[in-house]
Amino acid sequence: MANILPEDEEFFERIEREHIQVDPLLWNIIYQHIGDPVIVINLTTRYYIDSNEPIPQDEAKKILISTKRMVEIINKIHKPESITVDDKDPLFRMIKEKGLKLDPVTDELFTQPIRNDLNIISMNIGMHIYPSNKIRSIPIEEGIKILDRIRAIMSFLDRLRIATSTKEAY
Amino acid sequence: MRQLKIMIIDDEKGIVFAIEKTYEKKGFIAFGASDGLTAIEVFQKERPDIIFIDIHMPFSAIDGIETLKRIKEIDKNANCVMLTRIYDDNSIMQTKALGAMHYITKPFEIEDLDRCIDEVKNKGDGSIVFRKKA
Repeated sequence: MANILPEDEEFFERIEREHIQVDPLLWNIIYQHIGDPVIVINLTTRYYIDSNEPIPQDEAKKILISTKRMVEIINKIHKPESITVDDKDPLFRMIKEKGLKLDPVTDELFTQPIRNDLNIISMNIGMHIYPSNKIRSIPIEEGIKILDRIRAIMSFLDRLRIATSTKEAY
Repeated sequence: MRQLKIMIIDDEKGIVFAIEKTYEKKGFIAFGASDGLTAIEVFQKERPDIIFIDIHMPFSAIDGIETLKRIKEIDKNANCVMLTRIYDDNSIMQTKALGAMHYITKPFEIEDLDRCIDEVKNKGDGSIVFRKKA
C-alpha cells in the first residue's frame, strides 16, 4: 500500500460518485482498534529510527502483537457474522446487533490492502526476532520499511475517513 | 529557567507511553494519564505547560471534553490541545468555547504536537526553556 494503486483510485472515484458512506460506529471501531495502535507503532518506530537505533526485541514483540490484533479486528469488520454475541467489546456487539457492515466497494478497498500490509510487517518482525536469530532486534533499514507501511496505512485511513464519513462528522 | 512540561491524556496507554518517551528524549518533562480523573489529579500536582487531551475516551470515567472543562476550572489559562478520531463540528465548538487552543485529528504525526508546543514556548514569559539531554 506504500503507494495508492490505480485500481484504488477507481474505488475512491466510485465512493465519491455513488456517495458511499461508512457508519460512524464502524469508524469508531476502526479508529479505536486500528487507528490508535497505528499511531503507537508510528511513534515507537520513529523513536528508534530518529535515534539511529535498532528496534529492541521487547518493542518489536509489542508491534507484532499489535499487528496481529489489528488483523483480527479487520477480519471481524470484514465478516461481522463471525462476531460472537458475548464479544468483550460492546461496539462489536452493537455491530452484530445492528447488522452493520462495510459496503462492498469500501470493503474491498479497506480490507485486503491493510491486512496485507499488517501481515508483511508481522512477517518481517517475526523473521528478525524469532527463533534462531541471534541479533533479535529490528535493524534500522527494516524499521524504516515498517514506518513507511504504517504511514501509508495512516494516510489511507485518513483519506478513506474523509471520503466515506457523513458530512456532520468526518 | 525550567524545562517545559508536557502532559498527554489518552485512554490508549500505548499512545501515552510513546509520547512520554518521545518528548523525554527530546529534552522535555513528559508525563501522562490514561483516564480523565487521574489526569485531573496529575494536572493539579504537576501544572504542565501544555496538555494534549483525547476527546473520545470510552475506557475513562470522564471523556476528554469533561476533562478539559475541569482542568479549565482549576486554571483557565491552561494550554489544552484536543485530539480526536473524528472531525466533529460540535466537539470543536464545545472545546473552543471551553478554551481549547487547538484541535488535532488522529492519526497525527509528532510534528503536529511539536507545532502546538512551539506556540506555547513562543508565547511564554521566557521562563521556559527547551533543554536537550546531554
